[in-house]
Amino acid sequence: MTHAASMNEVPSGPELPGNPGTYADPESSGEPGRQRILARETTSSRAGAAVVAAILVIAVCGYALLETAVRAVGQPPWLIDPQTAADQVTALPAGVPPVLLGTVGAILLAAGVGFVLAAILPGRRARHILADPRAAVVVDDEVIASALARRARLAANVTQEQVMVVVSRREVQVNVRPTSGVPLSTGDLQAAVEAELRDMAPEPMPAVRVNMASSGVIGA
Amino acid sequence: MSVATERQLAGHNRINTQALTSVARAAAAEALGVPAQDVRADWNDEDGLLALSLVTPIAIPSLTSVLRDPSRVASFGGPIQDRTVAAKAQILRRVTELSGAQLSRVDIRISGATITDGGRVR
Repeated sequence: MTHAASMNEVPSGPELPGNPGTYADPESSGEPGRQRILARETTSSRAGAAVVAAILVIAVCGYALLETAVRAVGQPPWLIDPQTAADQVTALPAGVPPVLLGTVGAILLAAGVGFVLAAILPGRRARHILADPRAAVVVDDEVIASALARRARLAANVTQEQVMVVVSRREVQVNVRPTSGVPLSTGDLQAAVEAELRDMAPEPMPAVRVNMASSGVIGA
Repeated sequence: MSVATERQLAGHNRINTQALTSVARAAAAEALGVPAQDVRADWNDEDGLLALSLVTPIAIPSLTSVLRDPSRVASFGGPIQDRTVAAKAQILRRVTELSGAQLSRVDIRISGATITDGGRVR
């Protein structure tokens, strides 16, 4: 897999997207500011889920307020009277078709699980940090994979199609299909890829695993 | 004093299947005394090594000349079976040396005989 993917270089300038005024110069241009930017770039944002949750809560509260106000004034209820609604909820299995009840329950459960997972999972993006004295450098995993694939291809002397590299947070998987009649040494390949990875020094440093296919490619 | 570091040049040399096949056909033709265009060669992969299968005729002396002079058989290299077995090793060595690829096996199927009288005997 040798995609050319974009490389994001984030300057450690004073500006931060969204609220430029909040972070003052000395804080955001120094080390703490850079750490914050790197953390923002390597984890995915929860803003979308938070906005959806807030809108749902606001809608429910707004409707409850409306119905309560309508009853306090003594007008007929808009959709349902709060007292009747509460009675229906306590007597719940009765009065609603079971299929509808099940469907609504399932939808609520799925939404709840989605929100909980979005809240507690680390939400890491497929990126690594490169150490740099001047700038905060974030690299997509595809870019690292592409560089390692090129190095592995040179070390093994095979064509592009015979090498596939998958980079995850903690592991680099190098899948190689050798050319028939030209046996390859897994150790040499591993050493070459590890040397390249050491030069690159991504953070966190993944471990290298080389998978050699048992069958080769004829005439490649 | 600078240390001369060995530079790794980018690039990849490949020997494609067609070239390998031509080499195998030529080697088989040489070993069995037939023209290269009569040899059919096919490559397979065997656990990362190359397996060659050949379908080829073999050059034999005509029966009348053998009748006249029974030593003709020996001068061609003995019975067809023995010559095929010997040819296997010869083809394997020759192809390995020319292409640089490691062969694991050579299968030969004799599909016919071409009669060569008075030809050069190997």
